[in-house]
Amino acid sequence: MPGKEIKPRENWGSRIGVILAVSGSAVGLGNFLRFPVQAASHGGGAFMIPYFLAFLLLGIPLAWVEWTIGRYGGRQGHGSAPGIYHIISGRKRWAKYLGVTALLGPMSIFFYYCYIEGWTLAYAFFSLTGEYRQIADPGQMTAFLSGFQGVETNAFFNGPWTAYAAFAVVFVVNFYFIYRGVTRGIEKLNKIALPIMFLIGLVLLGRVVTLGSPYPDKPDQNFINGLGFLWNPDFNALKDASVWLAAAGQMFFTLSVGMGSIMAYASYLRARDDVALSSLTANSTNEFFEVILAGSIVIPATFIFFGAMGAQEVAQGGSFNLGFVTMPLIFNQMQGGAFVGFLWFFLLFMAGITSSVSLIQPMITFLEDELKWTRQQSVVAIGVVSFLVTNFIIFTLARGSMDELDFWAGTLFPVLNAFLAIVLFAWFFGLKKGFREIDLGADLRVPRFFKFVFLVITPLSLLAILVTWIIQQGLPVLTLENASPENRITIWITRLILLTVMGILISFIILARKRGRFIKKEELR
Amino acid sequence: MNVGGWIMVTVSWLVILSLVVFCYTRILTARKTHMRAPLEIDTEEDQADQ
Repeated sequence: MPGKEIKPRENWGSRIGVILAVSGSAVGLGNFLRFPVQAASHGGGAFMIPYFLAFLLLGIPLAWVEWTIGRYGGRQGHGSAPGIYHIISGRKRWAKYLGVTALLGPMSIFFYYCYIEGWTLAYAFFSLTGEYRQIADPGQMTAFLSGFQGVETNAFFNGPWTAYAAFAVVFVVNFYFIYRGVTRGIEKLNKIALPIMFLIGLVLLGRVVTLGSPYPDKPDQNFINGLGFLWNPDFNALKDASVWLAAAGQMFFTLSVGMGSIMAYASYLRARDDVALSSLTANSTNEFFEVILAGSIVIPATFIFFGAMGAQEVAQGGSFNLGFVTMPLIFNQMQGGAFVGFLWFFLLFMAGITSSVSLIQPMITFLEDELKWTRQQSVVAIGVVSFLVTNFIIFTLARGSMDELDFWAGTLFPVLNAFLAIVLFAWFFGLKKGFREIDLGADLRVPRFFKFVFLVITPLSLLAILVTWIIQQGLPVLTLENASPENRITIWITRLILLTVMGILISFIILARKRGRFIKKEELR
Repeated sequence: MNVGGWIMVTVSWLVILSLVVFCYTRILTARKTHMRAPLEIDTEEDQADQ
């Protein structure tokens, strides 16, 4: 499908635009649903020690690397991992193929992420219409969610059609912004969405702070003690390796590193646009949303209405349970709960859409840069594939297709991609050249001790995470140890889909190579 | 909330808020000479593939 009209690569319209776009990519559902659960169930305040260490030694360095190699690649017409890895490796023959998982990963996350995004939009609507208003029991609220998802047919829903309609809306909106392009689509979306998210976050925080003690017989169930439930440190938890692993994992989920999105976004920077300060600003914005806003809303609100035991159960119940079961129950007990519920789910929707457009962009960039497809052709092709695969996920949700995709695309690939990016940057591109590139147009001097972090600490930490995850989670998932027999066919079909998409991507890279997109080192001379 | 909780929440919030204020202050006061400039291609040492 060769392109007819090849336009020059776009550039971001403003500096704040790209910062907000990367921040929007990072601030997603995980900030509001995953972080509070992780912190509450891994030592409370003590969790912040490995969390901040991971921020300093993994998050910040990886973001700097991805911004830097993204801008470097974009300058040479490569905005996605295959092309970027090719040039920073010194044009090694094998390097471009290592970029496959940085395309497959984000696209596969999009396959299920946009469906979940649809749930948030539907629940925002339900909050206003009072759809779940009469439900006071957690079991009934879980049934409401299961019925909505189509996992079971019950008194609330007869199949997944409401969720499907919400998905259809979200899907079209996502591809509308993608089609509009980097400046007119993604940048404009984030310039509007991020300030709205900030304001909604403040309103929700204000509402939780002013809840007081809703039950006169339980005066201890108040905001301060709710904060205490999340922040009181249990330093003994730090002796447990899983706590450190959870903190490192959260850093991946939250900062969008290892997704290929930052590289793709940074490739649209101009040659001398700053990356050092912009990257740090995007990271700090994400931390503000995650630690200060999300950390002060969800768990304290849960504590106020359900007490310490209830909050403990909720934290152990996982992110979806917190977002779609516990929070609606809380809104039902709260004065003005309908509007607060709408704000909460609309905030999640905004957080979701600013992230999901960034999940598709690496693939769009790849098709435009390496195969010279037009944006229209790229959007149609990816839209068709995404629509088909998401439909498969919707109708096999109860059979474990989403969990399977989430393991590969949401857990394993980001760590693998980040490891490849940092190794290629530090060991092949070289730190001398690398720091010269970071410093180009920089408004902040990156401290030189990060050379050692780039070279040794971050790669070794990632390797440790990768090996531990493969042993602890990967092998049981790979061998279907915990999969029920009726789910196995669906899981294998999901794997087949992943392998097929991967095969198509590899064939695209080969096609691009044949068209002369990956010039060898000897051909340069 | 116990003393440890207050210390952790205060330190965490201070670190993040300081970082946010530092970054946005630098961004908003930084020179803007290279923004909105014509497309620059640095050919000093790199060979463009396009």
